[in-house]
Amino acid sequence: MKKALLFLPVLLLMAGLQTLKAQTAQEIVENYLETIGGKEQLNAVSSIKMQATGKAQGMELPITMFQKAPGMMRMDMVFQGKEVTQMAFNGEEGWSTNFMTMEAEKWDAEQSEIMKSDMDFLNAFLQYEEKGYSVALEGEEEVEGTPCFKVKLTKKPVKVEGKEEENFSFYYFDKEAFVPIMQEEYAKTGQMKGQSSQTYFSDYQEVEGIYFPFSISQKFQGQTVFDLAVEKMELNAEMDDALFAYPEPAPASGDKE
Amino acid sequence: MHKALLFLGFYLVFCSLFGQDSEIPRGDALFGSMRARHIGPALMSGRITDLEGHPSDPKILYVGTAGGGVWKSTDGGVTFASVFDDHPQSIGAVALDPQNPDNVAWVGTGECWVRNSVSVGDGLYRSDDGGKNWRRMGLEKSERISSIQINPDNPSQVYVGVLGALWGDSEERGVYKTEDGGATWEKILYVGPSTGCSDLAMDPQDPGTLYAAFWEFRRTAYSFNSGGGNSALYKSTDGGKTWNKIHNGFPAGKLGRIAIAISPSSSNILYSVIESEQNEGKGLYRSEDGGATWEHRNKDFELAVRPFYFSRIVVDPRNPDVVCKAGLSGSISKDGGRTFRGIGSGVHSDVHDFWFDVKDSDRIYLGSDGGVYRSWDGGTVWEMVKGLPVSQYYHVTTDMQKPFRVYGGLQDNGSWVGPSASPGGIEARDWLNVGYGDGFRVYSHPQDPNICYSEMQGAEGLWRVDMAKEQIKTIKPYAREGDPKLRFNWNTPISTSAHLPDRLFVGSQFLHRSDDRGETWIKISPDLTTNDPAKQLQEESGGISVDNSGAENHCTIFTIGESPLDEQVIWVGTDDGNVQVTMDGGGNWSNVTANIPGLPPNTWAYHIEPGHFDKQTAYAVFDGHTRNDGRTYVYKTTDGGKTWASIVTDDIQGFARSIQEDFVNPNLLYLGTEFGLYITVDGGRNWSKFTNNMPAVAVHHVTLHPRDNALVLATHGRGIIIIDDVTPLRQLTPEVASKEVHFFERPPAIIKETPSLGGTSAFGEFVGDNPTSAARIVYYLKKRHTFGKMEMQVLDASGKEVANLAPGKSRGINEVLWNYRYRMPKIAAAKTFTFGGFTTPTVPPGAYTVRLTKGKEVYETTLELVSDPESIHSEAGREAQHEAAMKLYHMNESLAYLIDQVDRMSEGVETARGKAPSKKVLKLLEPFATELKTMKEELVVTTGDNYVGAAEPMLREKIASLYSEVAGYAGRPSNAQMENLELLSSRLEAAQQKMGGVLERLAGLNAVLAKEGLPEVVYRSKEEFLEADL
Repeated sequence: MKKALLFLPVLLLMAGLQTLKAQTAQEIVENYLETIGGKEQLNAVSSIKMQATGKAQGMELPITMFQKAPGMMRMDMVFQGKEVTQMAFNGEEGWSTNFMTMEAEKWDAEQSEIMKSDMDFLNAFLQYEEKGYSVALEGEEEVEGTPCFKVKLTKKPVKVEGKEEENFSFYYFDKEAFVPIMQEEYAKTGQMKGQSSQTYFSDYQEVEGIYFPFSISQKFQGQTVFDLAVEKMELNAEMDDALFAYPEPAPASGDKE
Repeated sequence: MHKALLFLGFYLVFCSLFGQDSEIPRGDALFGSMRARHIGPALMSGRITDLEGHPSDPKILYVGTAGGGVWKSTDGGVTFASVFDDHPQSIGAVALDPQNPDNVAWVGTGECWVRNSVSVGDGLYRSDDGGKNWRRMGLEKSERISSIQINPDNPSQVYVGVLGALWGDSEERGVYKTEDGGATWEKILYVGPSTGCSDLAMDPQDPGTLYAAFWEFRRTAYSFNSGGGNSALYKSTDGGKTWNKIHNGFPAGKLGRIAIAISPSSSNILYSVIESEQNEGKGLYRSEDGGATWEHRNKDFELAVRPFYFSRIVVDPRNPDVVCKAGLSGSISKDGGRTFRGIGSGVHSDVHDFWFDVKDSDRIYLGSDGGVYRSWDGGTVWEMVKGLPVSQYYHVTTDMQKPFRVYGGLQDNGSWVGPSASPGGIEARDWLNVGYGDGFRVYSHPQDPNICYSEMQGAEGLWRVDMAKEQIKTIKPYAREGDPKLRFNWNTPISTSAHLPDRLFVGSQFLHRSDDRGETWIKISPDLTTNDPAKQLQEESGGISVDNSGAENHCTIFTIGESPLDEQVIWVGTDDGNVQVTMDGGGNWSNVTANIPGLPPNTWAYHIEPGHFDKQTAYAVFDGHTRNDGRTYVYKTTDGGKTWASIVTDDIQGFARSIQEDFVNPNLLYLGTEFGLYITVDGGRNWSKFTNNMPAVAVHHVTLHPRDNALVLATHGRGIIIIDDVTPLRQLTPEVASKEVHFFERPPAIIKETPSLGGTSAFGEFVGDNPTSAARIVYYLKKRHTFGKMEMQVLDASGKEVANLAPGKSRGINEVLWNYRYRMPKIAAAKTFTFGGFTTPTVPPGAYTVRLTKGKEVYETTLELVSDPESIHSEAGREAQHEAAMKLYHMNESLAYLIDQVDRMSEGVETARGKAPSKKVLKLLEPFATELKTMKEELVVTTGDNYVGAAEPMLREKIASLYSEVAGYAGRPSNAQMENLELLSSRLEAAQQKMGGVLERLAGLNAVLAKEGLPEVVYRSKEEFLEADL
């Protein structure tokens, strides 16, 4: 940990010097992965468990998040002493708890499909070429007063309402620090379809040799709509696949025996 | 040590390379998270210039507007989102790539319905992702693009019709062609420096066949000329290599603006509408042989009216005989143009474009001066799209109501008054119409909140409006015996006075003053203009079609600026370039125009802002664009106009129209230009563009609210835009900018007792943003925070944390909102939720500490919270409310803890039972378990769901419900509520007593369990419980 902290300013300096040269998107991504811990370390992670506080509309909500390779995730929130699964995805299908019945309900099939093509563990840029993604440098822009490289990440197209649509987002890499400080995405479905939202990353902190953003803030039209403050992160914790799967209801009593 | 030195060396190099010490940052970095909000309105919407639908998906429609950019609907026109915010908002043409319409879209900027108030564009743009991102593809000096035609067989081949400059000669006009998707362009048809391509059509069956309409036209500030020997219709059959005039059947003599349309279903059938010098030859022509011969079909009023504004024909994609013509009301023919009917009432006048649904011709969209409309019956009945806030304000003022109201007039949409905040958001119903015709400047009476003054074009109407009774009295001045004809600008200046509440100014070529609310008028100046007779021939204006609307009235006063410090000091600017000042209330006037260095003669004096700190100081903004000069002119004098200095830098884009001086910091200035809002914090040495939720829209007027410190912008295309709190900018000095973290001083934050009703708009209707009612915590960060922990706590006077907020990390100004509420109480876990338990009580007024921890550094500031001065409650009432709400809050938590004890002990009992205890122990455990179970069932619901399957409410639900009612109202709880509180409190106490009994017996039980080697039944402390998430 100590080493890593010392290493960081040096890296920042090197990164800074490198900005004097032209950069390609590939180099920016490589430097980024190197800066946050290196591919070898990143690839060694098989799961993440996160304790966080979500902040929205003046409320603070305790959140637990689980992520597991290759593409499973689950987010639970606590309301009035009860844990509610806000969203869960087992790599194939997603589900959430219905707030009225407190029972699990599956997402519609399209939403699961979109999630499937969107899920990345541990990082969208890890082995991006093997995943069929591409990156392109779109120029330089200031984000939060900070000069950034704007990199477009294009994933495989997704099907929305039966129509194949491009799936891309922009990452803004701090030119000095080489980590993304903002991601711009576009709603793929629903009433906000096509409209952009911005996710800001900060409070990068080291966990077992890897840097993660401990603060994530989402904005729409320049206004914060959701904040996430990570309190604790645990790598490679044991997680059963069942944690992510839709909890099949117990068979109706009439079917028994 | 070695290492440390090395590191220090690195660090120093690092700092010298990248350090930017005490410089005040610019742009995004300066404004940080300061954000503009849009309040519309959209109920009257604004001018639409071009509609373009998807060629196969009827759900997708793009709308190009006169000043509000491009809007896209993906749901068949129910909702629209702005997709072109970063670029000039004046749109000439929108086109979709026929092969890839989902992704490739083209926008030609610069409206081509060239009225006097039209904005300018700056070239051609292309999106490759369905409008999410745009890049400019050249034609930067085109000013206006009329059409974009894409070869359906080869979409990298694109033809663009450039109408070009309106106010002067230009060679960047004609027809342009690219073979490489827009990378390079060739001008393939050019007629002359005053003749542009007003319409361009491509034969969809044979993309090498093109029709290009050319128009000779020119505007000046005082005249309009349409038509001439160069107006013509051309055809090419070889992809634009050669062109021939196709006038066989057209009228002889000079022609004006010409529109051309091809029937998509039968491309030899063409329609053209022609402006002609000969009255008999005006109107609609049809050709059935690809333009070889033309037959005159119709010269009805709607076909010939105002060609510069309405030259657009749209043919049904399935039926070559169904033709729509733009016009004052718009009209439709079903018989190939022989006869037309009006498109029906309910549509705003001045129709500019139509779009037929690609699958159903009964479904038509149209765009007008008042927004987009949809018809489902082939164009007889129409409904308006209510979600397009593209209203075009000319001017804005505010009043001192709480919340303050905004007053202003709009292009072709009257004058309006609306609130800057309203419960549930600012809705259509919140706006009051206070003037007819085109609206311009509206002022509230400085003391009488029911009175405002409004006007219509050329002061044809000048009104005093009683807003309470909705009565309107005409109060304009008339020419008296011996006076020449009064000349009023299209956008006539009026102004109230800071010194006398009943005083009103209005400018013709003279300055008129009334001291009795407009009942009587005196002239307080001679003719202050150049009075150039050559610029006063507006009745001859129009060219081959006379167009004497008053829009070209010239040699008039355009701006009146009375010094807020001295009523004797009045500044006047004229549209023909004079700046005049009187120091004795109008007795003597000096023309100081010649003292302004670098200003071309006759440049329109658009706005004069008298200084708020020194009566010899004034700012003057000049607009040269009507002389084909797009440069920015802003000057400052500090000696009453004897000398002037420019305060313009290269940072500013676009000609400017309005400046506002800050009321506290004289170095802080706000400037509206054709392309947005610019702010300087150093008196004009550096300017930064404000972009957070602020489009590149033409800002026609800027005003600052003296009480609320809100910057209010009249935009000509995006309605009213407000930046709520500019006070951080006042405090931003180089010294502040040199600090790592700096908290700005804040006035006490008000605990707003906002009503929660409102919000009656239907989905799809525009609702304007409200200002936040939260307390603002504002600080400056020298550098963006990216690595390491940063957190923000709010502590009460005892040092207890009451909130943990998400701090902003941006370089520059960060604004964090706190809703001055405690967290939700802990609620007893049960089968279902109790919704009252989600309520958060308001904290009491007082001083709170905001603590920002950034790495190892701690920064603090004090936040003073005060009760709402508008409150209807007494202090004693509020205190009673707080006490009751907090008592209930703690009752929720006490019950929650009680249930936690029950649950923990029940678990413990179950565990012990599972360990196969002796019969003796079992006998002890069983009644204990039953007792716990019964206790729980009596206190919380253990069955049902959160909706209509809900169980009968128990003590938990009753406490939470009363808590929510009491905490949700800022005043004294009712007697019934207080009585109920006592009842619930005694029930809770009874339950707690019961628990006391249980706990007493627990000791005995645990002794037995321990003896038998079984785990004891335990529960956690209340503190532990309150700390935990679960």
